[in-house]
Amino acid sequence: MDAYDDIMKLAFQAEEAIDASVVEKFGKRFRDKQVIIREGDIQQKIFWVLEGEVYVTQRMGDRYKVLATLGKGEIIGEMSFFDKSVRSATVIAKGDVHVLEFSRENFADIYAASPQWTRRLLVSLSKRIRGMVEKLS
Amino acid sequence: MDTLPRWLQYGDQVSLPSRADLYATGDAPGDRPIFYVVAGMVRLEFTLSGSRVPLYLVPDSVFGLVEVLAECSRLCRVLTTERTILYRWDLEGFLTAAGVSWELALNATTCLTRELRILNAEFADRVAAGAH
Repeated sequence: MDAYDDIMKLAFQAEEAIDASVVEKFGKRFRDKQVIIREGDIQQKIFWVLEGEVYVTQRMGDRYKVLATLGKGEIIGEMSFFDKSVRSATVIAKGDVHVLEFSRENFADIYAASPQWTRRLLVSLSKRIRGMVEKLS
Repeated sequence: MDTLPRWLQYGDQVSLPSRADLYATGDAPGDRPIFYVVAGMVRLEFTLSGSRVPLYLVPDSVFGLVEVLAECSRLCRVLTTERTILYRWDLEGFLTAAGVSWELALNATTCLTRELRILNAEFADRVAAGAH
């Protein structure tokens, strides 16, 4: 089975029924405090959190401020993909984290093929917007 | 307007003059709360601790989705800045349209990432100013 078949299998699977072979192929583990995404980079990878939590932080002067904490089922790294920009935040593992890691091309295939992924991403972004408005109000 | 995409059929058209208010902060989302800009321009206006943060949306943009998916009242005011034609959907209509149009799904997601980016930048400015 090639990578495209694996991606399509994932696109149409329910979150709780991700195939072990897909996890083996795309899975990646990060240790506590390990940097997953670094602000300013032009890396194009997108991650889906399977287990654990991550801090989304932004450098402000000489320190980092936590913008959000994201957990299981959340997608991270999508803003650079859709907005065609450099990484705007640093994402750091909060404890041990297990993710699926996609290339830009793999994610585009999943997103185009599967309405459930579109909805998942829109819900995730909407909740983060609501959270940020509440934090700022 | 006979070249409009076919997936707009899942919603209905609204024509508005310049400076028309669509909704205000705190309003409940209505029956057809998700909008797509066909022509013209709208301004989203967040009022955050007293200061106004605007976001201008041009044709092909989508707005009104956040409050439906995050299940909350309207987070910003929206008004037209010129004569504007919109399409509006309920959530089911929007998801049906997005399911048949990769372009619509992409536009909607891009609009949300821009909103979040602007809010993150506002937050960063406030932290830098010592407000958070």
